[in-house]
Amino acid sequence: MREIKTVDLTRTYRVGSSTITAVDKVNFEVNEAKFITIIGPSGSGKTTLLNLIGLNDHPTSGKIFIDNVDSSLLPNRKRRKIRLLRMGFVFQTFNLLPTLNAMENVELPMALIGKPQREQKEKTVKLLETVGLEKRLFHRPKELSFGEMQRVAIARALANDPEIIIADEPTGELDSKTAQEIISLLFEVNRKEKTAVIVATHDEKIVNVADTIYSIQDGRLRLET
Amino acid sequence: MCFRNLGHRKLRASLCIFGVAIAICFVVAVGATTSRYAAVMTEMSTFFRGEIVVVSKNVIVIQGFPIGGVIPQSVVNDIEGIDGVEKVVPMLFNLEFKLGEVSNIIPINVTIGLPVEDLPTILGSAPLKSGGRLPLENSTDEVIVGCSIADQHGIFLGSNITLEGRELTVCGIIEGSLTLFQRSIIMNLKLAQEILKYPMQISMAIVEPKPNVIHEELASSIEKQISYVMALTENERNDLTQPILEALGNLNMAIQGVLLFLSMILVTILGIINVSERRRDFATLDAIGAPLDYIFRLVLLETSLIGVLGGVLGIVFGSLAALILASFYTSIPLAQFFPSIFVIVSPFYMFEIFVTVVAACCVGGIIPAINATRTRIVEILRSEY
Repeated sequence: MREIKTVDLTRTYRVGSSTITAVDKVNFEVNEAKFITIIGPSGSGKTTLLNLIGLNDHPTSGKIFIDNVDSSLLPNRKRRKIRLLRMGFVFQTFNLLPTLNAMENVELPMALIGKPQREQKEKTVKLLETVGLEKRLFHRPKELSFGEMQRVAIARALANDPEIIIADEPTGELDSKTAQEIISLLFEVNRKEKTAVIVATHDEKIVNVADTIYSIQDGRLRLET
Repeated sequence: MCFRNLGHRKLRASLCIFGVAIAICFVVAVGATTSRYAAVMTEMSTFFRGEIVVVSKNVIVIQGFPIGGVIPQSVVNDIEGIDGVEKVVPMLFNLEFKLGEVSNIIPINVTIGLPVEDLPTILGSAPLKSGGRLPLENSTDEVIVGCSIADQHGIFLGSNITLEGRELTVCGIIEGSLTLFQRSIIMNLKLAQEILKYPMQISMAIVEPKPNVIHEELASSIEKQISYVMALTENERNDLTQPILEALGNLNMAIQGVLLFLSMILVTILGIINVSERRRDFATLDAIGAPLDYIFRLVLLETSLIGVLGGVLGIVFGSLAALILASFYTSIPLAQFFPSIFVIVSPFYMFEIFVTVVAACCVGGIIPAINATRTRIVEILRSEY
């Protein structure tokens, strides 16, 4: 993915009789393998913005261009394909499938694109080694700590060699030591794999390693550095 | 993955599988039992093809075999005197005789008496166990018995059996697949009349018409000339049984339909509950880009798996229940039915039920599957924060 660009991106929700603007005319651009953080308090619109950028949601107005193609013109099938092949997602609550073990969770995106099983296995083992879980391959999520679960989630996000990783509060559920390890891991992925990383957070430690920092308040995005 | 998803909620999935299994057990047990009796009735239509059966008026007739009601043996001479009649074979047919003094709801043994020289009329090509033979002409103590009766009572060639205080010798054992013969005791007409206490009486006369004689006209002529009998052609006999067979078939269909529908509803409810509990999982699949048909198939496979497991269990238990029912209604020991389990519940019937229940559960999974494909990560995250 050479470029993601948003133009006056807006997302509003109706709650009862009132309208809440979660994202308000955001203009944002990613065109390099940078480490970008979006900081802001709870309810400021971070998650909504990431969902829009990750094509998980549709804007109320404005546009998202992916490689200069207006994503609103893309059918859902293609949006899914982009998510599967070119994006990786890391969630605050990990969102691992509870019935699958670590290996199977990581293999899933590869299985969805029909990668041969042997290649899936080899790559999964390599990815889980990268995140330091080579001894926890066959453990199910409930047998892993929060930090380990987030590592599996990061390995899963990397499974199909995405061009961008979108992480929503990846350290939100973790203690400070584990959070630091996860930040280092994301930073390493960004630098070694040349994968762009967009992280929504209010964790100062992540902000410190970012190339670009945005802040968001009441849905309005502002470039900090 | 589907197995594990079901296993993740063991109690609920087990109860659902158990529910489907009970429904299928009932379907198989009732279906196999009614089908068996329908098959026996249909099988009886293979007897007396192209012949007219003369029985007492106003008796119940199932495919030519009267249930009760006798006519004097002299009727044979009267029928022989009618134009168009080639041959008349008298027969005494009794369903009420009980070997071993066991009372039953459904008759278990059939006693047939007819002149020895006419035995091929009813036996046709049914084989006798090697070493066996037909009773001798004018024999007063020889009988042939069906293989099922022989197995049940440990009867061999040359064995002596006692019927109504009369010592008899078994000179032949009938083998073959016809249920009627498996449970028959066949003997000389005179001997049967003595044992069953119907002196000079018969329950039916089998009339072979001359070639080119129209059966309906001959039957009508017999009824006109002998006022106390019914003369039934092959078509008329079939017409008498057809409504019973149709009623049995319809009853079967209704029971199957209702139970399969209930199974489908059960699976749908379970599917809806499972999907609503796993919204996060489906939303995650959606977020990472899993195609909708993958999510759809995942849910359908899970509900179909319930159908597979419930179906297999139901068919196994249902087959056992069918054997137990057959044993209960006939007082034939259960063990004797085991070797013929695939006769009572045919493999094709098992396969038919299995496919139907899997299909029903698959259909039952459609609504949950649609629900699963509609789950979006945005909704999950919004409800969290």
